[in-house]
Parts: sequence; structure tokens; C-alpha cells
Amino acid sequence: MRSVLLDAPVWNHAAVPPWFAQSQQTAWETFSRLPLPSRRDEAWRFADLKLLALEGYADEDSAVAAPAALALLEQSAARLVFRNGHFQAAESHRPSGIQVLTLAEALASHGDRLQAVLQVPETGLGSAKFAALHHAHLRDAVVIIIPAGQEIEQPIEIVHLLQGPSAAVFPRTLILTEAKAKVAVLEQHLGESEGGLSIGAAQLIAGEGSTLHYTLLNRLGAGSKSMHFSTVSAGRDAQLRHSLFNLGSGWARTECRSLLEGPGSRSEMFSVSLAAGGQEIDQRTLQDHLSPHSYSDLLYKNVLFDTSRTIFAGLIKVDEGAHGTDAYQKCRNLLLSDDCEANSMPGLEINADQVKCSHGSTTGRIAEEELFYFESRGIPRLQATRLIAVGFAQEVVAKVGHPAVEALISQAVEARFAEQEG
Amino acid sequence: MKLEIKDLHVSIGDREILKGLTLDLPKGEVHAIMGPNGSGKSTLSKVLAGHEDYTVTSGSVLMDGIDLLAMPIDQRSRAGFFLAFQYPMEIPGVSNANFLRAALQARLPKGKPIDAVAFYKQLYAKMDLLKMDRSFTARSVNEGFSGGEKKRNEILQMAMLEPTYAVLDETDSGLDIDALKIVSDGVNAMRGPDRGILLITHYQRLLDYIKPDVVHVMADGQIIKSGGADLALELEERGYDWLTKAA
Repeated sequence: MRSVLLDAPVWNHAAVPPWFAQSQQTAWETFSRLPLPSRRDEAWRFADLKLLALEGYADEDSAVAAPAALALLEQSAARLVFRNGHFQAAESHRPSGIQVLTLAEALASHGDRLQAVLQVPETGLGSAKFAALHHAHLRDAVVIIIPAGQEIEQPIEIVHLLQGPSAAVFPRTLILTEAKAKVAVLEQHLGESEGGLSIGAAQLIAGEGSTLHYTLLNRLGAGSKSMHFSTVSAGRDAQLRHSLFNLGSGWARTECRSLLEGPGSRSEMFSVSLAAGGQEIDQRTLQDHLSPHSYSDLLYKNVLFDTSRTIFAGLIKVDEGAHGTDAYQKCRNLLLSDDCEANSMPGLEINADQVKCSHGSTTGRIAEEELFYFESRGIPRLQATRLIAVGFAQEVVAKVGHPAVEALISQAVEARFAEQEG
Repeated sequence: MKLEIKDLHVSIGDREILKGLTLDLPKGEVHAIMGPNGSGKSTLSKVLAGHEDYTVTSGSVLMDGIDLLAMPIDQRSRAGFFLAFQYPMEIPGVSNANFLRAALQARLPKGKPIDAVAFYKQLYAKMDLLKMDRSFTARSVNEGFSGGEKKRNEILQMAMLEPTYAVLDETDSGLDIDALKIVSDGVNAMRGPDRGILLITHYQRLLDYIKPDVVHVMADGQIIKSGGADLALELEERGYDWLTKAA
């Protein structure tokens, strides 16, 4: 067994461009060189660093057998299924006419173009070491390129399955939309095992006037750990939406950096996390406005049971020259036990004029009067709590924007809450 | 068969609000309770529903012979008690259809799924009666509803849950005349030999549309006078002073 932390990855670099081979080599060196986060790191404030013990995970060199049926979209423009990081052609479909590529295909056909972006997916939000680890271990990836003017009606679906207590996967998705293109992508991370590690990354690059909606559903097993890094950049008048649904993993950290690069660009960042047992869900975000008249909106909701903990740290940054910025940030925590803990650190840094910004965080329990109303209709308290909490989450689900994706997420949310109720 | 309230004493904190209230609501009848502000009308409705802010210090409430006060809130509802709230809660993210389904599902034996087709058929029929738009089913419970819509929604819930005894707490407050008519029609449609209805109201106006069999006057936590429908007219004319002073 080769440890993902201790042993240098075994690369098969024969068929890749030299720059990519070099980037993986450098990434491994960077990972080895950078220290682990310490308690003094602001980017890891409130995090339980003991959870970062990532020893004992192995780079799986083979896919595993099929488990129970996957919850998939009924209709998708394309589907790519990976098992423990290995692409499953038989379970996937990729119609001609849509550029949905594996890493090898992308490097072969778009190598030059991808050189600038297929690098370590650094968010600048604290996990440089792990982003480097991710890149060093990259064996495959999904590269989606939507050419100018193409609108893909149905969502594109990516499924990563993690199996085995010591398996490690490094899902990577790169989506490029050219001018006025339009696409929605649903990525699912699924696992039934009581262990495993997923360190994934998404890079979303929306060209001028394009629309790119990306949704990530984490349904990994309760014993697993996961990290996910997103770098998002919106060109002139582009519309980006990045939605996270953290319904799995014993420990999860997500980082999302959104760059409003073009004038008139829009970026929405949504998240729902359900934390239970001793789970910790740690989310860090940056909305970085570089251009005038750009808009960003963030809504992160956490539902906490048992002794779980959540951390939200978000910053809105308005750079010099980004006049006319509209930027909003809201974190809402719903506490369903006396022993859970929600930490929120919203932040603002404004260096331009004529901006509209607001940020805030609310933390609370379900009001007794709300429960009384449900109970007075004959609905038992436990079920009332679930309905209200699901409703709290559904408000975000309804923002995803694609009926089929919303329905799938909605079912996953309901199922997760039902598990919690037992 | 009746809802039988006997010498009920209720406090909130150290303050006694109901001071020995006695009232019988027989099945098949509509009663109205009128009274000045602060007489304890809303306390009575909350206590019957089981609100935990109120403490029953003595007395009893029997619903067809069964001890209502001994039951938890949700069980009272399933046993046939209903309260139409004066200020219904807004519940973001929970649709009206899901809310009602959950309430009806809770009345079925464990594991028996609700018949969705029959549910919607019944729901639409009751909504038509209350002149409610179909889009209403997908909206969140009371969220962004006007005062009139909220009250109509309470009556819709009553119509769906078909309680044996219903208390309507100031259902007429905040309603314009059109809404008042619609709501009254909804309540009148539910009158019948198998149901007792108790209207709590401040104004005689509601009783023009829903004719009560008996009118009770409440003051300082007690029923101080009971009479026929004419009593409401008399109160409208003379106010409460002549009664409270006599008491």
C-alpha cells in the first residue's frame, strides 16, 4: 500500500505534456515542503486540527465493484462516472457535440490552452498544502469546454464513488465556458464506506456573457474525510453559480474563491451543510471584486445536530477600481441540539467607492411558537423539527435553478434528515 | 357528548388569568365567547391547545369524557381538537401541501402512506370552497400571506383535519368584509351534528355571518353571562360595562 501522504505518487507521465508532468512533480515538492496548518493560522481558526491526521490512506490503483444503484439524473446531457478515481466508460455517456473530456483527452487535444489553468488549484484560503497534494495525485479529471454560443439544455453529471476504508480520491473538474455559452453541471461525491478520503477541486472559468452553474453534492460516508477547493472566475457579464450541499463526510472542509474579473459579472455562492454526530464542517469563502459593476451573493446555511460543529469564514473584498459593486454575504445557522457549535466569521474589506455591501450571520434555534403551531395540527415534535429544518435547507435548494437537479438534491436532503431521525 | 370546561384556573407565571371558568360546548352547537380585551379569551384558546406558557392550577377539561389536559399538544389535535390561531405562524420552506399532508399522515397508523390522489382531490375541493388559488399549495405556510389569507388558511386546515371541537380565536380580526364572508361560509359549511364550534371574538360583526346557538360573555377570567344570539346584539348596543359592573 502506498500512502498518499508519505510516498511520492507513481506517475505515468509518458503521454502527458512536459509542463503537466512538471506541475505534478512541483506540486509534490510543495506539499512536502509546506508545514501543516497550526493553531496560529487565521485560515484554520476554530478548526480541530487533529482531524487533519490523514495518515493511512492509500492511492487505490484499481476500481472496486459496483455497489447499490446510484441516484442519478433521469436525463443528462452527459454523464461521467468514476470509481475510486477510475473512469467507468461503461457507466458513462458522452454524446458527440459536447466537449466533456478526461484528463488524457484534454491534455492531448487542448494541452496548450490548458497549461495556464491545469495547475495547483490554489484558493488562497489556507489549504495550499492540500491543494498541492491533490494536484500531485491527480490521475484523471473532467474537463468541460463549452464553445462560444453553445447552450447545453440538460445538466452534465459527474459522479465520483469512494469505496473502501483507506481509499483516497482526488476528483478534479475544470469547466470553461466561452462567450455566451451556457451549461449546468452536477457533481456527486458518493460513498457507502465508513472511511476514505476525498480531496477534490473545481475550477470554473466563465467567459464573457456565459452562464455556468455548478452544484456539488457530498454524500460520502460518515467515516470519511473530505476537502474541496473551488476557484471561480467570472468574465465580463458572466453569470456563475456555485452551490454546495454537504450531506456527508465525518469531516469536511470547503474553500471557495470567487473572482469577479469582468465588469458586470455575477457570482452566486450557495451552501447547505447538515452536521451531525461529532461531525465538523469547515467552510471558507472569498468574494473578490476586481471589476466595476460586479455582483456577488453568498448564502450559506448550516443545520447542526448532536455535538457537531460548523465553521464559516467569509470575506467580501472590493478592490480599488471595482466601483458600483453589489456584494452580499449571509450565513445562517440552525441549532438543533444544546451541544452543537456554530462559528461564523463574516468579513468585509472595501477599497472602492459607490459600493453596496452587506454581510451578516444569524444563529438560532427553532422558535417554540413554530413547533407549537405544528404540534397543534397533530404533527409530533420530532417530525415538526425535521419539516422545519428541511424547509430551512430547501430555501437554498430552490436557488440551484434546474428542476431535475433541485429534485435530486431535495431528495438527498430529505433522505439525510430521515437518517438523522432514525 | 361535549367539550366540558369545569372551574378552570390558569396562570401565566404568578398571574392568574382564568379564575374558575366553566363552559359546556355540546356537539352540534356553535357558541361564541365575547368579552373585553384582557378578559382571558385568548388564554382559554391557548390552554385548550396545550401551550406550555400557561399553567393549569385547577379545574378540568373533558372532550367527550376524555381528559384533554392530560394529552400532549399533538395528541389533542389527533383526538379531534382544533385551534384556529389569531396570529398563525409563518413557516418558510414548508409548503402548505406538505404541512397538511404531514398533519393527515400523523393521523394514520404507522407505516400506512397517505393516498396522494385522494388528498389533493379533497384539498382542491376545500380550497375552492374558500376561493383559494391552486398555486397556494406550493407556497410556504403563511409566508408573505395577507391577514385575510392567513385566516382563510386556518379555516382550510380545519376543513382538512375535520375536528370534533374547534376553537376559532378572533378569526374575524383583520378581515375585510369580503374575506369575512368567505371565511364565514367556510365555517358554516363545517357546522353539523358531529362538531362543536367555539368562536372567540371581540366584535358582534362575525355573528351576523355565523349565527351562534349560545353567546357567553367573559370578563376577568370567568363566564359572567350566557344567553342566546340576541345577547351579542345587546352587547353591541350597550357595551360590556353594565355586565362587568353587575358582576
